[in-house]
Amino acid sequence: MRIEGLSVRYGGFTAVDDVTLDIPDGHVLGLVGESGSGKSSLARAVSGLVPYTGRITGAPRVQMVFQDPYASLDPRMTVGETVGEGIVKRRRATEVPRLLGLVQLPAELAGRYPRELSGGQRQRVAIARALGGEPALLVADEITGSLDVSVQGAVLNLMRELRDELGLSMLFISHNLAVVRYVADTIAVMHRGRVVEHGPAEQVVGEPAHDYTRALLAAVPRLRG
Amino acid sequence: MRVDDNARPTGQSEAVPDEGGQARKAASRGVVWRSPSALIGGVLVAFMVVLAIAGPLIWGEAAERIDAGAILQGTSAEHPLGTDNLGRDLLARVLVAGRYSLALALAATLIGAVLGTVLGALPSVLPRRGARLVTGLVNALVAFPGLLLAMFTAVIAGLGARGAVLGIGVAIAPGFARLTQTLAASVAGADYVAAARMLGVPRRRILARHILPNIAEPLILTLAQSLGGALLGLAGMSFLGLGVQPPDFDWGRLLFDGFARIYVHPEVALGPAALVALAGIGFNLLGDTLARAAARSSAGRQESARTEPPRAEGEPDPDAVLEVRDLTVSFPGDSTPVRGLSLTMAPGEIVGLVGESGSGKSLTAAAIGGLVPYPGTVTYGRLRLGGADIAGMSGKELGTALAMVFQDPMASLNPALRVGGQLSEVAVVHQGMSRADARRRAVDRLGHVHLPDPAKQAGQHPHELSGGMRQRAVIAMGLMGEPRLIIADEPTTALDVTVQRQILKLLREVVEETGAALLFISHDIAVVGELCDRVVVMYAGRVVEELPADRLAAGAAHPYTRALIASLPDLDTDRSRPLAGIPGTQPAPAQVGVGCAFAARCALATERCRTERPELVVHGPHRRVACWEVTS
Ligand code: SF4
Repeated sequence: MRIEGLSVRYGGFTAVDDVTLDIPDGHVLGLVGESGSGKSSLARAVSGLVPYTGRITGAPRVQMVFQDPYASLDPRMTVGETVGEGIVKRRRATEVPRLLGLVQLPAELAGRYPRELSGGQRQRVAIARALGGEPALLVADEITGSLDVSVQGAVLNLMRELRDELGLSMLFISHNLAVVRYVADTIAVMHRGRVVEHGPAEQVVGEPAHDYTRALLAAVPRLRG
Repeated sequence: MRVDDNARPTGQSEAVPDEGGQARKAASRGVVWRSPSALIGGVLVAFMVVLAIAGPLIWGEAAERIDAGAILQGTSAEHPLGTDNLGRDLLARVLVAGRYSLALALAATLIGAVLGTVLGALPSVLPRRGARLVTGLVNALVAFPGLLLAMFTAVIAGLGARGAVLGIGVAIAPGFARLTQTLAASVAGADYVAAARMLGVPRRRILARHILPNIAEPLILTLAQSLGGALLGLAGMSFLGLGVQPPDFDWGRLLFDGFARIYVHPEVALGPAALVALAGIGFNLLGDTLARAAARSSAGRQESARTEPPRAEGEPDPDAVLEVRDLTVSFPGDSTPVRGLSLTMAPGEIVGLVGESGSGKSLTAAAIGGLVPYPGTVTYGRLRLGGADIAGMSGKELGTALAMVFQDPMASLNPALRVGGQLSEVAVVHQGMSRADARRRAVDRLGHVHLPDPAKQAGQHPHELSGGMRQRAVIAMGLMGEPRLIIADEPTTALDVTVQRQILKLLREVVEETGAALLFISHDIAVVGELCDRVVVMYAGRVVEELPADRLAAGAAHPYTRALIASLPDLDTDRSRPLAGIPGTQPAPAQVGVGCAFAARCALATERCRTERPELVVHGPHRRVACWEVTS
């Protein structure tokens, strides 16, 4: 999949400015940046949720998982209905349990409502729903941003397993460099709508080439000792 | 459509945990229903319903009885409201007319609601151009006077009840359409609708599955209010001669007939007028109450109940800035988010209170600041700030000695006022400073928190500052007094890492300069470890471990603290191995059982852990731990 010369404008404001990126099949591209860097706008453009100029090729089906699992599940629909939303009726009965299994949730959860689930479980449901759309590319926008640290790890592990098992390509977006480094093969750093650095994950973190990347790395809080 | 990146964790703030929130909601609903207006509305509507059902059965015959000997009379013992031109008793007629009047109003409201909802929902399914057309039409109709619309429709549809009902229905529709549109637009922006769109769910289905079910509640609430309006409107139509025609009669018609004689016998017009008014008021009040009960999620910052404190043993610590003993916060429904917490802070000390959402850390802060929302109950054995009992401090004293900084700086800033003015206000109110002095101090304080060009920034409104600058302004506001203690509750959670770094540095500076103590509350153990001198870890409402911050990485003893640190990916985490996490979830504040609250998720748990709760005990210098496996 290739993003070429992609720009997103809102009125006179340019949120994403002429971005070109490659995501080889089965690869995870990590996108880091601070608020206003344009990373979420890029995600929404790739997902077809906002208009853009430029070209996106080689990604016929894109699905997205959102940051806030409390806002991304319809409170009036059961887990089964939510997960089955993108699936043709006659296959729903078999697909929903399979998808729940993929995200390591028990099939019994299908009858529950989102309010009965924890944040981590909800985010798994949202991932299962996206997988139901059989995506060639999965866009994960800050998906652990509203989760507690103790459940974040399990969701990140799940994303890596899904990549390995399903050969899924992913655009993985986060403001947290450590999280992106753990999940992504390559990292693109965005600043003010542009990609200022793009390279293999370990290299971007280990030998940052751009000043902004260095500033970002220096600001990451670390435990002493 | 969001221009802004949604890069921030939003779920960590936990001012009120779920359980407490639920309980609070239920209780405040009770308050809404017990208000006088709710009571009056309920009684009036109940009366109208009874009248509509029973009226014609009881007085039906009397209302039709023609009495040639008693034509056009005024009030008498036999006919309290007089009689009409055929000698029929008007009181009976007014009581009987209730059913017809209310039925017509109901029909008109339903017509208006259905019409309006369809109009309002259409833009969500139509193609862009059609949607714009419908929206334009609704906007034009909303601007058009309702009564004119009603009369116009009624004239076209023909004189009589049918025309009037249609007319009022049409007049109600634009309001409903506008409401539906607004509500639908907000639901249409939800992430779950975006997800459905990406899955290729057709628009019609999105409307039926996602949008309508999620806007139904407010629409139904509006029905009750519209009913009152429809009743008045229909009476008006009948009164104008456009509505019900004889021999049928509703309140409006009776009013119309009685009006001709109002100078001779006012009572014949007053009867129907009073009932129209009462019914209208009743439905409006009931609608209001329903809407308020639904909208009410917080009862505001009422002073929460403080029951008689169980006095703490021993003498207060004279050197402590903050001394908390056995602090408990509970909500109705057996929900206890903070359970017997104790904490002592020395001047200039930075203590990090860390825990995940629902651990009770934010409520602890709220309890110290006296900000626990109604109907929370706060009890403590001792709660002293700067050597004085907080219960005995005036709002002024507390306002000067304690500064609070929250995750969202806009919670502390009034968007309508200039930053400088808000800061000066603090000094004027709390310290009795003159306006000019307060102003000077405000600019000085803004400079202190490194706001560039403080004199100019003081003249700006909060929305003109960036998130980081706003947080600086809030910190400056706390420094207007001479705080002994600063409580900062997730002050950097909504900020970018680079800005977070600056704010942390600023907080350290402020502490060094003022000698105040800082209680820093965060879900992020790395941030806490970096900033603080001492760390207090909370789990399910209790402190489970206390240790020096520089011992966090290598010396944490409690299984929960250790697991929390292990779950944190850093820039050296081994990418070939799965990340650590903690299985299961933290028990909700109403579901903490006996024994160690962490037992269900703990790898070291034994039978004893499940039945007996470990106390927080000293475990080496400056360290305390609550765990059987560590201390025995
Ligand atoms: S007391 Fe038992 S269950 Fe609780 S943390 Fe210690 S070992 Fe685990």
